[in-house]
Amino acid sequence: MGKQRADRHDEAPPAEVIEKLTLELRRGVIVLACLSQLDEASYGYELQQRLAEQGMEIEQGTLYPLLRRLQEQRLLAEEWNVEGSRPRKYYRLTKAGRQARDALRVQWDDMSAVLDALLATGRGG
Amino acid sequence: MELIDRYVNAVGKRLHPSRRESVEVELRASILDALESRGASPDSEEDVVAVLSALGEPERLAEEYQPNRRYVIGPELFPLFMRTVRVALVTLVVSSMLGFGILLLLGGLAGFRAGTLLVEVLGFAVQAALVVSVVLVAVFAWLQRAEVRLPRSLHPNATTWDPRSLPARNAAEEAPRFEVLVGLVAAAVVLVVLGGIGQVAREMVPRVSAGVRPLLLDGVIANAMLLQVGLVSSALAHAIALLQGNWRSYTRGMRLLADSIAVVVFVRLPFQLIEYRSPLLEAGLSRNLVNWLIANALIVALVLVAIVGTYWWRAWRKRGGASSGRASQVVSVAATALLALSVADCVVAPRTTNATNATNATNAGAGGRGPDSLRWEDNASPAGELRRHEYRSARFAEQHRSIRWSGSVHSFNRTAMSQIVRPKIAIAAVDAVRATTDAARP
Repeated sequence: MGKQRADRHDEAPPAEVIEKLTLELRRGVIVLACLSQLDEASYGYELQQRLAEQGMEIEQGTLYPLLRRLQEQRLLAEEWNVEGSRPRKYYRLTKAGRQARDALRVQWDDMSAVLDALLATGRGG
Repeated sequence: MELIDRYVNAVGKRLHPSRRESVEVELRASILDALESRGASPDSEEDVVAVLSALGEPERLAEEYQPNRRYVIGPELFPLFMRTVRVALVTLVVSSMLGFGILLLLGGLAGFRAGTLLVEVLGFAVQAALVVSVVLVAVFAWLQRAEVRLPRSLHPNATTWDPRSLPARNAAEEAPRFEVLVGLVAAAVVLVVLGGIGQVAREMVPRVSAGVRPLLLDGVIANAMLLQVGLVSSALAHAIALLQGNWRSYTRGMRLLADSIAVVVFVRLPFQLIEYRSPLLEAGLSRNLVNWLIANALIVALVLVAIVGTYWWRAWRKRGGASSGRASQVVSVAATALLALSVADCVVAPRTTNATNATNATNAGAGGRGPDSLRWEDNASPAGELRRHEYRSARFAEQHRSIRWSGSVHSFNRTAMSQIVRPKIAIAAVDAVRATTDAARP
């Protein structure tokens, strides 16, 4: 009985559990990823492509609403460009956005260092 | 292109009007950008489907744009909503009870039927509570939908929480299973006995017309509906406490309601006696006995108010200490004693009824000499005198229909007890006791 229970605990976690945990881990990180790329104005699709090229895949359905929320939080400013074939909304970091990005970067560096150390000393290392 | 329009519209119609247009324009542009990067035409259905599929279902995308819109009342507004509902409901209950108390004080002396009044007040309170709740839900749902931002002072995290504000752990809040079970059974039994008393009263209608009414039973019957509300409240409170394993503020409130009702009944009894004082005296009862009855009823009421009040006051100060339980126990004992006396009153009644009927028949034959010639008149014991006074007062009531208690028993029997509560067990028990008592008589 006890052995059966131990065996069950040794099973690999279901894929959806890993997926959910990964999503939670990424949720905070993608904000910093976006802020890191918006010193220069960029529109949604362009930003998504740029992030993907650098290895940060973000779904469009996640990215566009996120940009709007950051704009509502006054971390991004919008600029409409109507010169091309269609109107495009460009986003650029505001002063508050830059400060937020810098603060988040410090937090990220600290957390990253701590986690590296934890994973190195724990069994994960 | 039509598919893109449909998709954009499906997202846009789920958004707040203030952001709909700009989101639609941005979304359309992004979709066209995605198609362009694939080297596809907006008219290529296959490519459009691929791009739109990557964006996901319109409902989900719309939710991403406004995550709190999926709530009727979101997490930011919910604490304020709950606080408002609590304040509104407490105000409603307190004002209803206050209104009931005032009406009882004003109408109690004029023969108000407190049970009916309480049921009406409670019915009104429940209706009002439902309306208030619905209105508050509608208002907060609108606030949520309109995305109204709360002022900082009303924000859930506006004040810093101090762990020292936590109440001390109170052992009395725990509800020992056995004690609660006893309370539940006691409330249920008293409810059944009360129902039995109603049945007995129904059976006694012919005797009332013959001129005999047990006085104590009358007091209980006049308050039966009130007592029923209290007992149901007490039984419910105990049942919930049994399930939850501890006393909470609302179950304690229900018990307080039950205790208060019992106290109100005891306080009303002397007032009822005072109301009947003149008829009782006119019916020939000695002034001393009437005063003695009223004084006793008053003393019992005052002692009960003092004891229960003290216990509840202590419980209030100690945030629901063991005192509230003791108050309920005292009330239960007093109510049970009152009911037991009433039942005893009924059990004794048949012998005098028979005597009365026989005497009445004789009196009628002899030209209706009146009740003073009854053969138990010469019984000098206090019980005998009490019985005689009951007979006389009832005869008086018979002759003067303006006295309410005589009328109330008829309407009472037609409605409440005879229609609603008629537990067979209680009737059988009362019958058994009555048969035993009859058999024991010489």
